[in-house]
Amino acid sequence: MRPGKKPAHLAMAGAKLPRQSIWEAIRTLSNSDVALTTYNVSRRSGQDDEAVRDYMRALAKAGITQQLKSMGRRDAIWSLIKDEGAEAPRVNKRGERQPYDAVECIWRALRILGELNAVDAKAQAEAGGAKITENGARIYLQGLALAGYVSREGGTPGKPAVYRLLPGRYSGPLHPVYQRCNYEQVFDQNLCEVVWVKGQTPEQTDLASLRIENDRFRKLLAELKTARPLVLYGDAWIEEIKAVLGEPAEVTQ
Amino acid sequence: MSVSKIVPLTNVGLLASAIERATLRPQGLPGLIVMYAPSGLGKSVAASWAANQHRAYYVECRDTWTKKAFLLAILRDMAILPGRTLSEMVDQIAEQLSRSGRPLIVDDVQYLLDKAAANVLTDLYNASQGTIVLIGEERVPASLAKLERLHNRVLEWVPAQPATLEDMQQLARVTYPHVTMADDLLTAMQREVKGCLRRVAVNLYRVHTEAQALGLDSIDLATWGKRDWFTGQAPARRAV
Repeated sequence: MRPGKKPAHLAMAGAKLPRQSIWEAIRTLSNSDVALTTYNVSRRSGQDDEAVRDYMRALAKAGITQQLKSMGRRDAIWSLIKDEGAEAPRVNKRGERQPYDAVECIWRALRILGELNAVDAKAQAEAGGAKITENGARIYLQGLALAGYVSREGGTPGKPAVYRLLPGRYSGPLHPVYQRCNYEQVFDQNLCEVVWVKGQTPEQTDLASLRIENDRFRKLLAELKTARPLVLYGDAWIEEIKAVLGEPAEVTQ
Repeated sequence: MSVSKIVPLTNVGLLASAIERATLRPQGLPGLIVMYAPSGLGKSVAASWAANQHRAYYVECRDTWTKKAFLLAILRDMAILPGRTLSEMVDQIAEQLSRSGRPLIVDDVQYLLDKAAANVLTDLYNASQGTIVLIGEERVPASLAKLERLHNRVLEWVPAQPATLEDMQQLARVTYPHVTMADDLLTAMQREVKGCLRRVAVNLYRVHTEAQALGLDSIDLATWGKRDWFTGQAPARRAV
């Protein structure tokens, strides 16, 4: 960056974890005239004061922020020393950097290589310094297969299953999360929605992938709408697409 | 059959160590790394390994891409909401690259270099001073030589190496642990495939199936005999 230049506005797309919202608020406030206080960050990001305070303290231990002045028990004025870009730094309360998820590496490798088996997926995650067992990698890939992101080939004795990313199903760089705590479901962070729930409808797998396509078409439609001037027949065309897509409520059912 | 194994292959190590050196380079040195080789030598595996190791941003270029498409693809991989104009997008990418310190890997860059979009690369590099890795086919150095401003910002040229005997031994050991393949067999295979890792994978699979059919747990050149190797050539027409 050239010194003295106003920084570009960086906001992350997709679903936001609480700390991501807090981090974005910190960056916005530190570039503005408004004071960077725990209170302001909390109001701006819509997170609890305690959550903001804890994250601020963790960042301070990691040398990213610094407390300038304490204002009572809850509030304090901070300054951002080291801006690390759009993504919220992953630190624990002792200020130590936390490793990134193994599934993030698997999702990235799937996108670059196109296909993976569980053994390769484990090796790719280890390349990124994350730990996962071969079985863990298989479970994740299987979850992606259930949600319609990848197709599965093989999986018979002597022939390990190969999972291939379906073209057009890549929804973005943030990995889908296979949640298996109470009930199994797959959450897509890029689309910010649950794309698959176990046992909801029989053809759920097809629906999940259709939803990703639907989202893409909606974006295209929005782009088409803003792309003025359009000739009359262009408008008619949009109406046609709208009719095919139907109301949002119908499609996301 | 693709080669997605990351047993310590030569090319994987070459790219990983080049990026390592670039991220640790002293202030003032250029930060562009160029890896080039014909298709099938394991560039993508190297890219994937390096991308995971350094949490790099990764874009794969297409022939149809314009400047805007290129910038949008990078912003998409960064998961950043794109700005309205091209210049805003360049600022966003440059800021994110320099702030986060994560490298950017541009695969199949040969599609980009002959177009106006190549100048965007120079802009991105100048504005961010980050580490940018260009990966492409063999004519990439020649195309780059025409782009004077980009060419002199290259820190390191990394020509991908054809598969070595060690690579093939490693690959055979990891992929088919139950079949021992003799070195003379692998040397013969190496001569035929001319170092193309993708064809090595196909041939290893052939050797494996043949060994299974013969009920052997180790195989050498004498046992393999005059059987064909897969070289990518279509079979020649046989005159009757």
